[in-house]
Order: sequence, then structure tokens, then C-alpha cells
Amino acid sequence: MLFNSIDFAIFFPVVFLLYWFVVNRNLKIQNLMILASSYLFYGWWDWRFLSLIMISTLVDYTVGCRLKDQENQAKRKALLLTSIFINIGFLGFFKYFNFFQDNFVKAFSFFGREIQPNSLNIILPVGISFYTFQTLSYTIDVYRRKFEPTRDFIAFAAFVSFFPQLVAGPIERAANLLPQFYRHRVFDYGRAVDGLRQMAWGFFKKLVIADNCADLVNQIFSHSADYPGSTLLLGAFFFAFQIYCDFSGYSDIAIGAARVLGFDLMRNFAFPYFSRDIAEFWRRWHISLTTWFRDYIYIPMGGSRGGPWMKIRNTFVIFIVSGFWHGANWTFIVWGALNALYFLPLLLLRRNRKNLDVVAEGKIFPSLREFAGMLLTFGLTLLAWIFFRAESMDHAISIVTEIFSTSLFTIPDLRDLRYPGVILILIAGFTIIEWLGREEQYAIAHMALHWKRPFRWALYYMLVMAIYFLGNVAQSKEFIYFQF
Amino acid sequence: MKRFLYHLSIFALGLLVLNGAAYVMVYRIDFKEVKDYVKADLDFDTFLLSDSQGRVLEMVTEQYGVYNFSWNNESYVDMGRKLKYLARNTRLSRIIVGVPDYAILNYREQYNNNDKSVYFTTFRLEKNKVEFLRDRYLKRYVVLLNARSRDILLGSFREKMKSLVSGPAQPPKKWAEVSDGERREHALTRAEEQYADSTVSVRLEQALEEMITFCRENNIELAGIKFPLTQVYINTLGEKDPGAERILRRQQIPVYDYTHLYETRKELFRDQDHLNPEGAELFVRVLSGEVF
Repeated sequence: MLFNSIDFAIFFPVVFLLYWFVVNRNLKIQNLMILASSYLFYGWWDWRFLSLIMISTLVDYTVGCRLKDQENQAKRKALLLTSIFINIGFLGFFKYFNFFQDNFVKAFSFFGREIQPNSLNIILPVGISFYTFQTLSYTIDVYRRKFEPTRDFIAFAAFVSFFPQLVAGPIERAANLLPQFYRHRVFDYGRAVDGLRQMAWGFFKKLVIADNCADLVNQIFSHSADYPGSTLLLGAFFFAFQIYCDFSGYSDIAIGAARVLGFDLMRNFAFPYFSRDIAEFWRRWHISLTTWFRDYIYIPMGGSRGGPWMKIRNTFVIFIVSGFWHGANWTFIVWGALNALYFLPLLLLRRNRKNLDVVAEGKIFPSLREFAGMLLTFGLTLLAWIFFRAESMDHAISIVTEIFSTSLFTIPDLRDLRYPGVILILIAGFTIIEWLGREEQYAIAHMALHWKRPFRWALYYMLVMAIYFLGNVAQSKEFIYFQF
Repeated sequence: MKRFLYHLSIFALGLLVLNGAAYVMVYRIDFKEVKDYVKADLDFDTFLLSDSQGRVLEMVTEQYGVYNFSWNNESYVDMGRKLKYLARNTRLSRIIVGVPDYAILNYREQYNNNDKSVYFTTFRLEKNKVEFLRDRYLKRYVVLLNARSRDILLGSFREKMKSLVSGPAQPPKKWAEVSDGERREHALTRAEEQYADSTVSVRLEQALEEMITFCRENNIELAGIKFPLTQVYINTLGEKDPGAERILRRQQIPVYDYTHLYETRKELFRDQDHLNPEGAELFVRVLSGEVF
């Protein structure tokens, strides 16, 4: 079920009413209800894929329980490997089987041996990368004795499949989310209102900014050969906002929906386009995934300790794995490698933790230096996004080549684009709101905290009307990150 | 909780007022169209079901005993609902359906009349009950959740603004008077719109198959028809998979292909893929001899 669908508009209020009015007295039943509604939410796409979540849940629950009682280190390791093998096995099969097969065939044909591949028509289950990482983090934390395994199967199954963040995160850690299923949840006015507000902001980002940008991006990228560099750069610019608003919009809806139900999810985006360097960008973009890779891959590999070569190796590994996590395509790998290249100089010069605070905190305008840093960082990410969005490496290279040609200085060709001017104005307005709210958890939290009720309500009505009149809602567009 | 529900109710009341205002505006514009859409002369026993390509034939077909029950954007889901409605309410003996190449593509699934054709069906008859309730009631009355109603409002607003600024709208140029370059451009834009996503819609495919089965079970004669296209559009399209036609032929259902009938006669067209009234008149005469 998509958040941006009529189905969800019915589903969520029904769940809300049942959750707070019918099953609110019994924690077990409340958790059971979350589990049932999560399975319904997920099964709405394709009920057959529910079996994958169920298997994953069963495996990690069992492994967790066994790990608690097991003292023998070799057996503990075997249990951990079982969980990793099954979870990564599913992920690998559904997401990477055809990629590896195609590349093996190409590699063999390069050496003069032709192989007939058995191509499988594999459909990628929605959100598999997200819930796989979430369950893995539980097992790894239990293995490391950082977290006490649960004996409450319903709570664990609800934690794995919790519908607000099931299909596109934030990828929660068991230490943060699972204990919330053990506690009796009491309705809190402030949290519920805040949750609804964040949901409304998420819908605005998705439907008004991301989905309107999507049409322009699709047109420009699918006809890239017909456009000059200036239009292609504009396409990359629109894509930067599309992917940000799409994904952070989803996170806002997820965090907001969870808050309405009495849960606190981790923050996933912290105004990444106001970052002054790439290291700061990666502390602010898809935080739940970045910290996952940091904790479960980067640090175990030695992190930034050791000599420069080790730092370089670890940085490349982490960024390339991150790229590969997004999809089975060389374009994602190059996107990851490019980011590693951007990040490395900062790491080697020990300047990667320079910008830890909020940019221009307490001020209206940034300094010239901060502004230049933001502009440069945004420019670098823009270049990397081209690889992320392109269909293939050839496609990406042709776009980049055209952008770095003299056609960059021509007037952009906007003839076949639907309302690019209106969308640029929307992006400008959106950026101003984000800038004003950059010290809060999400942009309009600032207005909610400082404005009087009539103005706040006027803002909410304006958001609803903006979504109605400006939102690209003719057909519910899936969130980009569902495919990852 | 009480405070929350109280504030939520007040806020929802505000939304209800906004929804009501939007409903009144949409209703005024849309009501006439729905009224026209559901209007059918039930005394006929042969009906033409098609999208805009058939609709341009207007009521000319009635002279030959065929009621034209076509509408712009009509999909096989809509036609299926109408078919069953006609079977329940008329002496239906024959159905002629349009089978353009895009008829079972996702394009047609996206642009359909599901929210209007729902008036021809009932809760009991529909397989997907949730969808029925959504189309019949939710989309109709909660206009804030209906993208189509938004488009109707915006379209009417835009037209009013345009007529305010530049006077009443000028009638479009006749197809025969448009330059070759412009014709090619129009054809290309149209082709890109219809074939942007060439994926076959499983839902439409099933809907067509169900129509065929329904006709067989109820002794209703079924025939397919491909409407005339302009040469420039035929050339722009090139070879396309005739999905709906293939399904019909596989089931031994006759398909009358008139794609090339007027390909060199620009004066008979309103645009690249629709006949004008003169073309419609002429074409219906051809149909009366061969199909009706």
C-alpha cells in the first residue's frame, strides 16, 4: 500500500481508531494489531512476498533466542552466519541474481567463451533491502551482546514489519525500536499532533515537489540525446530535489505515522543540501543507512584507524557497498565510488568532522564561506546524482560529456517540459522554508513551535490545498526507494 | 485524547467545508458530463463501444440501427461494465468494440472512465468491492481525494483566465490546413503520449477476455473495429503490437481493420487519429454496408 493512495487514507484512520480505542488496554493485543495491520499494508502489494518477511522474522527470532543461551563461541558464530546467509541469500537472489549472471556472461564472452544464461524473471519484493538490514542489525547486536534478545515473538514480528517504516525505512536498530513494543503506550496530544504535522509535510514534499520534478526528470533523462548540456544540468538539478523530497518525504510520513501511534523512529534526513562539505552531507543524508554501514561494516573493518591505505580501502568499500545496496547496476557502484573520492581528501586531511553544527546557527544568512561550501557540495552531489539516475554507464557518460561541453552555456531547451518555471518557483519556496526550519527536526516544526494556533491552522489548510491543487496526484507514483 | 479528537474534528470540519465548496464547483461542471455519459437509448439491440475514436461518430450510427455508446478515454473495464448493464436492460444481440493498438496498454488503464462507468455496475456485480466503493462514493463525494476533480477545477479556472485575458477561445485550425511539419509534430506528441509506456495492462487484458467470455455465454455477437488513421500518424507509429486485436482474433472474433481507409484524405480528419464530422458521416456509411 502506498502512503500516497486513497487506500492508505482509509487504512490509517481505521488503524488509529482501533489502536487507540479498541485494543489500547492490552499491550499484547495492541502489538498483535500492529503486526496484522503491517502484514495487510505489505500484502496489499503482493501477499506472496509476506512469506519472505515471515521467514526472515522466524529465522532471526530463533537465532536471537539461541544466541542468548549459547556460550560456545564457534556455535554462536555459526548461528550468526546462518542468519546472515539466509537474509543476504534472499536479498542476493531477488536483487542481484540477474546482475551477477549478466556480468559473468559478459566476462566469459570477453575471454571468447559463450555461455547461455538462464535468465529468471525475478520481481524485487518491495522494501527487502530495508527489513533485511533491520533484522540483521538485531541478530548482530545480540551476537555482540549489545542487546538482550526478545522472547516476545509478537513484539519481534511487529518490530520487523512495523508498517510505517517497513518498505523504505528509517532502518531502525533493535535497541531503539524493539523496547518500545514492550512498553505500554499512552496517547500523547503533543506527539500525535506533531506526528500528523510531519506527515503533512512529508506528503507535501512527495506529491508537490518530488512527483512534479519526476515528470521533468523522466522527460529529460529519457530524451537526453536531444537536449543541450544546460537542460541536462537542469534535469540533474530537478532530480536532486526529486530524490531528496521523495525519500525524505517518505521518512517524514513514516516518522509522523509512527509518532501518532506512540513510537519514536530515528531521524533519517537533516537538511543534507545545506551541508558545507561531503562529510557533513553523509551525516545528514539517509542517516539510518549511513550509520548502519558505519556500525556493521566500516568500524569492524578498522574504520578510520590505521594508515592511509587502510583508510582509503575502508572508505571505498563502504561507499561502493552503499552504492550496490541501492541497486544491481554499475551506475550505483560508480555513484558510490564518486562519493568515496569526494570524501577521501577530507578524511585524509582530518577535516571530515569539521562541520558538526547546524549551518549559520541562529542567523538568517550564512557567511560567504559557508555559502560557497554549500554550493560546492551541492554541485558535487549533483554530478554524482547523474550516475544514480542514468539507465546505464553509457547513458551517464553521455550526459556528463554533454554537460561539460559548450552547450552548457546555451539557453536551456524547455519546450517539451511541463511547467518547469512553476516547479522552479516551488523548489525555491520549499528551499526557503527548509532553510528557516533547519535547526528543527523537520522544516515546519519551527513554525509549529513559534506560531499561534490560527496561523498554524492556516498553514495546515494551505498545505492541504497546495497538495490538492499543485500535487502531481493523477496517478499515485511509487517512492523511488521502494525499488532498492 | 479528547482534546486531540476535538481539535481534529474542528480541523476536519474545515476540510469538510473546503471539500463541500470544491464539490459544488466540480459538480456544476462535471454533472452534465456524467449525465450525458450514463444516457443510453435502451431500445437498440446493437451498440458501439469505443473510446474517443468511436465517439466522434456521434449519433450518425443510430440511422443504421446502432447506438453509439462510446466515450472519450473509455477502457475495456468501462466497456465491460456497460456490456453487462446492456445485457441486463436491453435486447442486446450485438456489440462492436474499438480495438486500437493502445487499447490494452497502461496508457489506457491510466486514462479511463472508471469513476463514471461505476454507475453501470453494482456492489454485487463488481469483483473488487473496495475499488467499487472507492470509485462510486469516495472519489465522488470526497473531491479533495480525487485528482480528476482537481483537474476539472483547474481546467475551468484556466479557461476562464484565458478568455478574460485574450477573449473567447479560437476554434482550432482544420487538420487539412495545418502544415506538414505541424502535423508531424502533433502526431509525434500523440504517439509519445499513447505509447510512452508500452507495458500491457493485465487488468485491461483480463477485462477484454471477460467481455469475450460474457458475450459467448449470453449469445451476444461480438466484433472488433479499427478506426481510420491519418498517414502521418500511421508512419509515426510504425509497427506496434496490436494487443487487443490479437486477443480477439485468437478467439475467432472478426476484426474489421479500417486503419488505412482514409490515410491520404486529410480533409476527413479532425486530428491525427480522429475523424471530423464529415469523415464520420462517410465512415458510418462504409460501416453500414460492411459491419452494421
